[in-house]
Amino acid sequence: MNIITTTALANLKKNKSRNILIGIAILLTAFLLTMLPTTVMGQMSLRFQAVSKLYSPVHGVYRNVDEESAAQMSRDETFETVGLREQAGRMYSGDRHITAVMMVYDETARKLSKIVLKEGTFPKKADEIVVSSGCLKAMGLKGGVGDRIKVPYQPMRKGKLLKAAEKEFTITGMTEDAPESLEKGFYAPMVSEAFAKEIIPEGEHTYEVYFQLRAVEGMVTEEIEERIKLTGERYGLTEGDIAENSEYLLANYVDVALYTGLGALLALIVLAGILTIYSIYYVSMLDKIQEYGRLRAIGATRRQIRRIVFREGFAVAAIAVPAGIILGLISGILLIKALVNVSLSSDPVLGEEMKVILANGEASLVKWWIIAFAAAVSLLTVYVSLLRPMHKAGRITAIQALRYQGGQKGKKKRRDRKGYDELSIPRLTASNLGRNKRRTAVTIMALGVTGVLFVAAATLCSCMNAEDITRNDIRRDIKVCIDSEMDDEMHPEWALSAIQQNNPMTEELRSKVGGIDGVTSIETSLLTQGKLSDEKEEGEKSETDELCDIKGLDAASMKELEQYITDGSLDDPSLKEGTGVIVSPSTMKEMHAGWKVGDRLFLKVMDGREIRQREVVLAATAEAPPSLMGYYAAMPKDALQKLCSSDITYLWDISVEKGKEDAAAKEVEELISDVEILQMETFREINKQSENAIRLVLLGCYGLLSVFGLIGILNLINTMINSVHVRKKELGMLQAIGMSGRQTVYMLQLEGIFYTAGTLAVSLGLGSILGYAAYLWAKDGGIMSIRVYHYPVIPAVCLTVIVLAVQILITYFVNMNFKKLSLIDRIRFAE
Amino acid sequence: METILKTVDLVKYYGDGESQVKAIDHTSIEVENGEFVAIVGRSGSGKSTLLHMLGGLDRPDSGEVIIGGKNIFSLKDEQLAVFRRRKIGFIFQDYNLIPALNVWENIILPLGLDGKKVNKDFVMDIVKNIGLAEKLKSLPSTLSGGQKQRVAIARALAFRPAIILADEPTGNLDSKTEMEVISLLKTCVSKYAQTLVMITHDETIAQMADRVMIIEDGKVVR
Repeated sequence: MNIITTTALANLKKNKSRNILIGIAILLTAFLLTMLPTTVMGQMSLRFQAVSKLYSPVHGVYRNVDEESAAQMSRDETFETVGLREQAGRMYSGDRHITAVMMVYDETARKLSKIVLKEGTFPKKADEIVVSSGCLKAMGLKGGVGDRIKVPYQPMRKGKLLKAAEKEFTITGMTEDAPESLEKGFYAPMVSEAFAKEIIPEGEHTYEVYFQLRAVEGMVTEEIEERIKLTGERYGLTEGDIAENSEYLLANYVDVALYTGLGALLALIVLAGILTIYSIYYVSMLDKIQEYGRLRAIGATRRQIRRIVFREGFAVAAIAVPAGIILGLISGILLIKALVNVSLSSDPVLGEEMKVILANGEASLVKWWIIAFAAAVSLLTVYVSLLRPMHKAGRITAIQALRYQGGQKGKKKRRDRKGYDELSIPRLTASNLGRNKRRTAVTIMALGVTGVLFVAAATLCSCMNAEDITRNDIRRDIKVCIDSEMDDEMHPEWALSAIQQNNPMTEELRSKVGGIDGVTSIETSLLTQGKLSDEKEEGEKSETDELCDIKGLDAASMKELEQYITDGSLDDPSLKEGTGVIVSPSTMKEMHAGWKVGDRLFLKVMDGREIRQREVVLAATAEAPPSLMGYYAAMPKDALQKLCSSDITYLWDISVEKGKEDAAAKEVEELISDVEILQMETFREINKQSENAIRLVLLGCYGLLSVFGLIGILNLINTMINSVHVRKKELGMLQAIGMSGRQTVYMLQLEGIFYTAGTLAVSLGLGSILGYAAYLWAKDGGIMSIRVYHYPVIPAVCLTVIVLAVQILITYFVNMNFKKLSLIDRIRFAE
Repeated sequence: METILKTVDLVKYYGDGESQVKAIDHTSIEVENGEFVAIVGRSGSGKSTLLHMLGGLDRPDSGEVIIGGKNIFSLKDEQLAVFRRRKIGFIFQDYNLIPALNVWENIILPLGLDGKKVNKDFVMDIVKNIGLAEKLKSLPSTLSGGQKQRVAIARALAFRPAIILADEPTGNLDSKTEMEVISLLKTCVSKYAQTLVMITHDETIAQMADRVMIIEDGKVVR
């Protein structure tokens, strides 16, 4: 070992406390750099493997494709493979809660869909069928492979269900029932192409096209998605009929957004690491000047000094980096296991599959490139942090070191200070903080940056509110509404037009619901189908399937709507006259671009079997939850009812006393149980679904928060310890001339409070602004249904409490540590 | 003359066994009010340790330090700190000024720590005596060594402590400045009727004292 290394190692021991600090900072950097990609990539590779096992290897699906287009697609060079699937009809059970769609697959579609039979073969002839035991049971049928069953069914024609017929089929194969099929009563028996040809006239087939695009290797998901969209549009398909298989795409192609996000996060960690390590070196360099000067005096060259600093730093890194990587790997793997076991996937089957893959150890969670990456980046971080200290140490001359008295910095020396006439501890603290204003400011900003990110991320988290998402669907505790079904020839009474003529939502039923224990109010909304247009349409009848919801709101709902108005006003006279309508800006953008408030329009509404038309005024636009305003247009209840002669009551929003929701829901359910066309939903049920939907995102978000928090706390600890460490001698001196222990602690506390207050002010101030901007961005992009701004009160309070607690703890520990040294040691420090 | 400061059988050992160092070995001294005592001894003789004990900066293994009739080691740390700033003024070899504070603030620092109102006339009188009236707003980094030590002297005097303890106050100064500083210290001490105990290497300076104590291996030999 040469003398440079020996000196570096000797320094390593001598500067133990500083090196432990730096070691922790490096360890944390390496830890985060390993843990984060391990978790993300591990979670993703598990997911991807599960996806590849379960999902169709198709790039996307086009729906509602007519025969001609489907044939064209099969010949189209854009596609590598094209498979067709068709709904030939539905088994008819008479029970609304059972759906058994008779599916037809061509061979390609069947292969792409990865359909496996439990036994038997796929249907070929027109009278062959594949069923599941659940399906048979639901239909009240019995049989196995080879048996013949009589199936009543409704043929499907362009989305409409025709009158039921009956046909005898031979069961050629059986499939397994998925648990959710049994739960939801949804089955998909398979019939043959021959059957479809038999019951659907040529030219009237409607297909779902499963496809793989040609020549997409090396493309990123965003490009593939764009191509799927453009190709679909070329065939005249609307946005709703184009679906990309995003899980599969994500699993098999590079997603730019995902990697950009991960990259940005890693860059942030590196930046925080550099800041932290650099600042420790920077500060400790001040009291090392004499030492390096002495080395210079006895003949060490600049290069040698630089090497000493470098080797000391890398000796610490040699221990801290592997330790950090090992810890990162362990916690990354534990985190993956925890994430998979709480099964946060929106798709339970996928979640289960991931568990299986994890349990079988099929996915390698430890990735060598992550280790190499973390090690390289951590060392680079250390190197970059060391550059300036190395340079500075190298520049120190012997003379500088001998003359060095501490506290002087830079070329521009301050000569004077106005100062105070009288001194007190707070003033003393202020003088100390003011000694190097730039450093103080930089420290606060460095501490604040993580706080700002924390508060901004927390704002998004708190705006991602399950209740807000739920309130899009349901306004009060219980919702009872009409559940109509169009185009079923077997049940014309399920069509909305028929229901309006014989509406089950009678006053009598309403008062019965009102009488249930706990029910405090029932708000009634009207709804019918209709359409706005800027031209009067000739003829009273119109195609019903292009109609949208027109909602009629009672006075209370109108009042609630007020807060969501984006243009116009609810005081518009047309609303009082009964001719005003309110539309959402997004509806305007998507369907009626160019309309503005005040325009005269024509409103067409369905009234039983009739279609009525009248002239209206676009009174206002409002960006309200759909549960309040519906999805298309709204107007006051009385005005809408006046347009119609039939009973268009559609929805009851029922409020229930706290604690009685479940009991009331049960009673409501009983009351409406014999009315087939009424359905009930409760806030609790829907909210549970919303909570599940946002759980994964929230978890990721909070994970991010803790990373920011950890970095921030490390920075705070480092700053405080350094400020004491460097001034050990000065503090000892102050105590020698009579500063008591209590006063020392008080002074350190004041300093801590200053940094804390500064950090909190920056974090909460800038963080809130940035958070609000993030909220606006998310709201605009419709991300996670963010619609309402919620200030992240709890995270903000937590941040404040944690920062204060950390500061108090540090002061306490510093003081404890300080007491261990005798006053004499302290005064002699750095000599 | 009354005895203001005395030690009774003071002992302070460092380490044990073979490597034990007897920094102070059963030392008993007495200093009278208004006296200027120089403590002389070789490097490592224990003189600095003795001074630290006298000032209550370090606690002895056994024995007592009695200042104004009070055993200062019977005080708790907090009380001792208060006692120190009120009764004892320290002057160190390397000045130990607070770099963030200007000359005036450095001088009144002990008063500030005690929450005392500054007697401006008195402090200004000291400042004039040490010849730094023009430099009150200056930061320590802009002062010469001699100026810094004069600030340290003013700081030690500002509280009108009964005793001034100086640990080689001129060790870092050239000989001309050295004499200036010592004369100044001596003048001030006698003007404000204070007791001065000073450690020095320098025979010439020791000669300016009322009494010289020689310390060898932790024992006062004369």
